[in-house]
Amino acid sequence: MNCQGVEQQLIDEGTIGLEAAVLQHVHQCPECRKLYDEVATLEQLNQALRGAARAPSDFSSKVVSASFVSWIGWRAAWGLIVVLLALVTLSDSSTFWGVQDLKAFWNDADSSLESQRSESISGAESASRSESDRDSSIPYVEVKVKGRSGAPVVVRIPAQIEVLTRDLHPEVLLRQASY
Amino acid sequence: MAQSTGLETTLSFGDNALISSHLEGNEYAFQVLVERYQNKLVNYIYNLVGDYEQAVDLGQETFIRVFKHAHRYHAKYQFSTWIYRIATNLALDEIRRRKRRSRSFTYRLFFQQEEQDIPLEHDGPSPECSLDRKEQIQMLQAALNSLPDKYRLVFMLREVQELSHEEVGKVLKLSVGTVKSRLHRAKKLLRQKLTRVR
Repeated sequence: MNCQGVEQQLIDEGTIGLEAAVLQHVHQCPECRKLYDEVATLEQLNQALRGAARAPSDFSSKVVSASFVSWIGWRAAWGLIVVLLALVTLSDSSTFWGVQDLKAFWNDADSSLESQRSESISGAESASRSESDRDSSIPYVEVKVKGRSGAPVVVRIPAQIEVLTRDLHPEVLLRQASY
Repeated sequence: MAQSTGLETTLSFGDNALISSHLEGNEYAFQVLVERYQNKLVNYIYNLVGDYEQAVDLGQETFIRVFKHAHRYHAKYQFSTWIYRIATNLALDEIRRRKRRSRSFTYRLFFQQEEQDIPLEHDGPSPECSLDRKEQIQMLQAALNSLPDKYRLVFMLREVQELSHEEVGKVLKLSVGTVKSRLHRAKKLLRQKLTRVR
């Protein structure tokens, strides 16, 4: 066994359980003896490092309670996030539904106004065409207006007309008609 | 392993059985695991970060992570390698944080001798420890802390924590060959540093 082999063994394996040949070399070679002593000292110091610090006596109880608290907090945080996400989703959906409902409402309103308007127009037309065609169930008023020839003409219009502001055109309705 | 499993029965469980038992609701399982590893772990972290309070805090954090992520643990691995890996990562994070603050343990040890407040013994003191011995240990700690992390971690896990080469490899995700060569290099570097100091 040469010095290189002994050094390799001492560094890799330590001083415990060395082969007899290595030990014999160590006893005879001052350099390897020095290395052996250094490795032995290092081993003792490592032993000391193994007991350098111990956990405090209340460590396990603190860890167990902290773990539970942390776990509960973690779960609660996730729960809160899930609840918040659910609320946001629901709120978005309800807004969406609200928009849908509103659209449906306006569609209904438009169609009902449209039908009312057409009823009113047809009522007025029928009144101007013929007295007998008139639906007596609809209350009306008689209005005297100036005809195209300049002679006064009496027209009957429904007593109640729902007019949307957007339907009023001042140029057409207010200037050309006089009540 | 129901919730009603008693403490005495639980004490006889292996690590993997304890994790399974904990996940099944055994209230003692986690406590037994903590008590089984607390000293090894606090000591390991202490030897890495050199601050006892910090080591206790990081040890606690390690167990909290084990508790939180126990469901991710696979029984085909060894529990000890898993917990040492968590502890190593936490300790390395702390060391990096300190390096950023330029107040590392090594720095204080070598350059701020008057500020030395390295408690070598706490709950596990060696009362018979002579001053020379303390100095030797301090020198070793300083030499260890001056080693690059890749050598220091291998040395700590193998020589101080007494893990096998295979276990060290699993903790640090290295091959056994790499572990052995790094260990050899770490010991050589330590010898050089300690000889220089003497």
